[in-house]
Amino acid sequence: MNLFRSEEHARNWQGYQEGAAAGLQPLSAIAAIWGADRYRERLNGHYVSSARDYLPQVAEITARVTGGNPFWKR
Amino acid sequence: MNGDGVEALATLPAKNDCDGGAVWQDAGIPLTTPDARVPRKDARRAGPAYQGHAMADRDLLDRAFHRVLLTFIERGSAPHYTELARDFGLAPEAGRTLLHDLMAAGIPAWLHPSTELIASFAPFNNLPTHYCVSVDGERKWYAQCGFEAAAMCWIFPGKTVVVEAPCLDCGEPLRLTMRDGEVLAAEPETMVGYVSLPPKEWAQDLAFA
Repeated sequence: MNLFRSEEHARNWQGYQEGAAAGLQPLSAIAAIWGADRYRERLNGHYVSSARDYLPQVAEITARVTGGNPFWKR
Repeated sequence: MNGDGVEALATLPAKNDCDGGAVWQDAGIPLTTPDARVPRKDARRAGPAYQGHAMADRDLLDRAFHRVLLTFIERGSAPHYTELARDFGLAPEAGRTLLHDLMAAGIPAWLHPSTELIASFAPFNNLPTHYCVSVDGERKWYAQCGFEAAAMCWIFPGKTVVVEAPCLDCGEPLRLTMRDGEVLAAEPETMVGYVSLPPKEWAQDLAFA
């Protein structure tokens, strides 16, 4: 999971796989997904116990920002 | 993956990934505590005393998770299991067991191979990565990956978090500035993220993902 200067740079990278083009996402999508409670609640003191509760939200956000692409289905 | 106890756990990948927890929990497998290794039918036979014990263990995992993150925040590196033991009034061996239970609890973290040293504990990495993190101008952390770099701001609420990295294609710099989930600046503005593995496969090799 890496950041690149642009889509062109990501596609030029030796690790890029044409069959996994859906793995390419704008920064806004990455920030949205990694802004879910699954990631923002890590300091709440009961994170391990609560981890399962965060799954529906992160799945919903992921589906929304990726247009429901099956690559991102969790 | 399906199942209800030790057999099912044995089929799980050794490593967790950025969402390893999702994979484990989606499979209907409980968070791993020492008790969770006991098949559920045995847990039911054990009765209330067993269940109470399991709850206490989960609370300890919560506190250990929190302690590891706080240690990263304070000094930029992970604690050793002997430090966890000391913090919780445990013998070193119990601290070692606690660390292993924590790392098996479905969180995106793993130990360095052949050691009992934390290698990565999202969003942090204990080994330097190319994602260097500065908070309010102090640079002493590393992000687990480019995507977790975007979650680093939640660990430092109210503070300006800057992630600097070279682009893996050209080596030219990237600079991402965030605060409380808001992208304050992305240099260049065309910055994107890429992962070649779909989320459902991350658990098979988090370090690769």
